[in-house]
Parts: sequence; structure tokens; C-alpha cells
Amino acid sequence: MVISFFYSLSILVALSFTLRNKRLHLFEVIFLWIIITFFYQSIITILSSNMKLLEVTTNIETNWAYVSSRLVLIPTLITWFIEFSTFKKLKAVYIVFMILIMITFDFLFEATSVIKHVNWSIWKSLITWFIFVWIIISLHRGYRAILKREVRL
Amino acid sequence: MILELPNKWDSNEWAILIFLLISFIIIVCLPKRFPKSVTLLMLMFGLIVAKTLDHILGIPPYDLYDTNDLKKYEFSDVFLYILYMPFSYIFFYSYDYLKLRGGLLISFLLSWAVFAVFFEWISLKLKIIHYGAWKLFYSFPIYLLVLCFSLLFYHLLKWKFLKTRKDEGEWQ
Repeated sequence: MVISFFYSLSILVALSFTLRNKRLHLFEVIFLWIIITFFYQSIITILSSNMKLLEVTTNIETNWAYVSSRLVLIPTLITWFIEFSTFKKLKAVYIVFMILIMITFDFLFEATSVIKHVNWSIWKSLITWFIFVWIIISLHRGYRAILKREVRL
Repeated sequence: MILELPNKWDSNEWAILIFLLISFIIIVCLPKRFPKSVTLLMLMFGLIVAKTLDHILGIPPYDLYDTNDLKKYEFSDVFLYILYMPFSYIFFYSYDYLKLRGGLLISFLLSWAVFAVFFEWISLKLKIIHYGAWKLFYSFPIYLLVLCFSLLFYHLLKWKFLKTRKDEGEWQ
């Protein structure tokens, strides 16, 4: 049930993102996917193995649901919001909305027993996601500046 | 501690440091071949493939192998991931330079897969990697698959770059 839900959601989000007209260059999308996936997976490892603030399911089926979310769902959603925040007005509103959605997913993963938070609070989620999004947006801006000199955006 | 320090500074840390130094010297010395935006993606490709495979196979529920001293995320692990960056770049560079087709391309991919297995064997001896249920010969098909995927990635980058480049002289 959990695996079907997260797989379906990942496919739907990825399809919707792929089929619409994107304003980001393909290289930006690849760059964003790489950095989001790298940092997201690193944070999960740090929180679970080093700080013991997170327990990731050891059930193989549920774990694959989490893999699809880490590799497809979360990176696609964040890329989508970064696209909005790059090209639309009210950038801050999109960023705040993105952080709220990510926090909702954190607690959705917990509700479906994919992960279990230990000594965690919504404030810790808020701070973690804020720093995460800030790093991603800064790196994206740097990459976009390099890209602008070489290709038509 | 957010990132753990190694238990003891020994063979694995020295090896990672020396490999990093050598590989980055090689890529700095190589004549420029790709635009900066493409070079960055080629470097990061190795990083993300290694991180993703480790995150699926190296931690529970599979937990097939570990890297470096601890069953935690260490500073040495971060440097180990960085080490994959020059490797992927050199692979793309040699593929672009040699422009091989047919049987020669297959030999090229097989040679890289053999080299990767050999490098993994050295990493085992230097205690950079510790196997659980994993076996060295499992790695060969994984490397082949990753290398084939790398070629697709290369052609995707080239196709998009040539379609949208500003300077006609860049990356012929």
C-alpha cells in the first residue's frame, strides 16, 4: 500500500514536471537533481546514523517507497518550486510554501511508518529545510551564472 | 557530531588523500575540452552515482558493505565521494577524445569496468571499503551498467549543449 502510494505519487509528479513547458535549461534541472539528491541523502544519513534523530524503516518494501521519494518525488518538487521562485514574482512566498510542503512530507513519511523521528520537533524540521533550501538556491544561482555565459537560457 | 572524525588516521585516509591529489592533478593538467557548465555536470555525475548506490546498498535494510572506519557518515566518506568526481570526468574526457565506435567502444567499456573492479580491490586492501554480504565480482556488472548509463548521459549533455550554445566554436 505504502509503496504503491509513493511510487504513484513520484510517477505523477515526475510526469507532470516533464510534460509541461519548463523555463529552466535541461542542465539546470540535472544540476538541481544532483545537488538535491546528494544533500538530501547526506542529511538522512547524518540524522539517522550519526545523530540518531531518525530511524529509517528496515522493511524492504517500505524502504523502496522511500528510495523513490528520495530520488524522484522530493527532488522534482523542489526543482519545480525553484523554477517558480526563479521566474515568478513573490519568490519568498514560493520558498515558504516549498518548505511547508517538505515538512508535510516529513510527517507523511512518519505517518506511513517509512521513517520515525526521535526527539524531533517541527522547529527542527523547519530549520533543517530552511538551511537545505538556502544551500540549494545559492548553488543554483552560481551554476546559472556560469551557464548564462555559455548557452541561451 | 554532524560528521564523524576517523578512529585513527591510517591507510584508508592516506590512500583517499593521495588518490584525490593525483586525480585532481591529472584533471587540472588535461587541456580544456568541455565548457565549464558541462565539466561541472560531468564531475558531479560520479559523485551522485556513488552516493546513491551507497545509500541504497550500503545502509540497512541491505547493508551489504561499509566504507572507512565507522558505520557512520565520516569526513573521509565525503572525501571518498569527491574522489569519484575526477574518475567520472576522466572517463568522459577519454570517451570524447577517442571517439570510439563498435567493437572498440565495447573494449573501452570493458577496460574501464575492469579498471574499476581493480580499483575497488585496492580499496578493499587499503580498508577504504569493507564487505558485508557483497562480493567483488558483483561489482563488475554494476560498473558496466553505470558506464553504459554514463554514455547516455554524455550524449544527452552534448545534444543539449550543441542545441543551445552561444559560441559555435565550443565543444565540437
